[in-house]
Amino acid sequence: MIGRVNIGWTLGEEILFDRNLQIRQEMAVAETESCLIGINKSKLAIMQKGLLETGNERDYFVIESILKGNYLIKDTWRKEQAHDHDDGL
Amino acid sequence: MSNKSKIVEQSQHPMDPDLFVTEKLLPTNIEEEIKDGFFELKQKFKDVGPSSIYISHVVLHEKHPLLKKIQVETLKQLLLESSVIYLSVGQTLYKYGAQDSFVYIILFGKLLLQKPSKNQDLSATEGEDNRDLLGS
Repeated sequence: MIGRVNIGWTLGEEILFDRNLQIRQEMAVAETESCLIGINKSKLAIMQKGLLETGNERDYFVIESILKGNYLIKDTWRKEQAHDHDDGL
Repeated sequence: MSNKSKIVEQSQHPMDPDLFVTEKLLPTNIEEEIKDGFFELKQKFKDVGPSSIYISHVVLHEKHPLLKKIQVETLKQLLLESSVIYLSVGQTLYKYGAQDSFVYIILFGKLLLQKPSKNQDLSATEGEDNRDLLGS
C-alpha cells in the first residue's frame, strides 16, 4: 500500500505536475463508501486561467497549493514505497 | 486517520511557491455534516422512476476542509465543471496503467492507493468502467 486518503485529499493530481505520471502508477480503491468530484485537467486549467484573468489570484493559488502539496506528499510516499520494495520489505 | 486530514497552506506571500503542510484534526462528525448537504430529488407523485442527487454548495463551503478555502463562486464553478463520482466499498476509481485526465477531490470517504502485486493483473483498464456517476 502506498497510502490512505480521505476528506481533505485530492487524487490523480500527479498528471498536472509530472510528465512521467500521465499513466496511473497505482490503483485507487474505495475502503469505505466514498464520494468525489472529478474534473478534467483541461477544464481545470481553463478555470484557473479564468481566475487569474478576473483578478482572483487568491483562489488560483489556493487550488494550486492544495494540488501541488498533495502531489509532493505522495511523491514522498511513492519514493518510500519504492525504497521499501528495493529493500524487500 | 479516519478523522484526520492534512491541510496544505501557502506561505505568507501568495506568489511564493514554497509550501508547508500541517495535519489537522477535523471534527469527528465532519463526514456526516457534509453528507447532510446531499439531497435526493424524486419526481412528485411517483414512487418509482429516476432520481437525482443534489449537492449543496453551501454545505460544502461551510464544512469541507479544502473547498471552504475558495470563494463560493469559485466552488460553484468547480462543481459545474466536475462530475460527481460515488464509490461503494471495494470499487475502483482508477486502475494501474489507466490513462484518464481527471483530478479528483474527496468529498467524503476513504480510499487506498495501492501498487498491484506481481500476482495481480496489471492490464490497463479505463477507470470510468467502475464508477457510478451521480451527475455533473
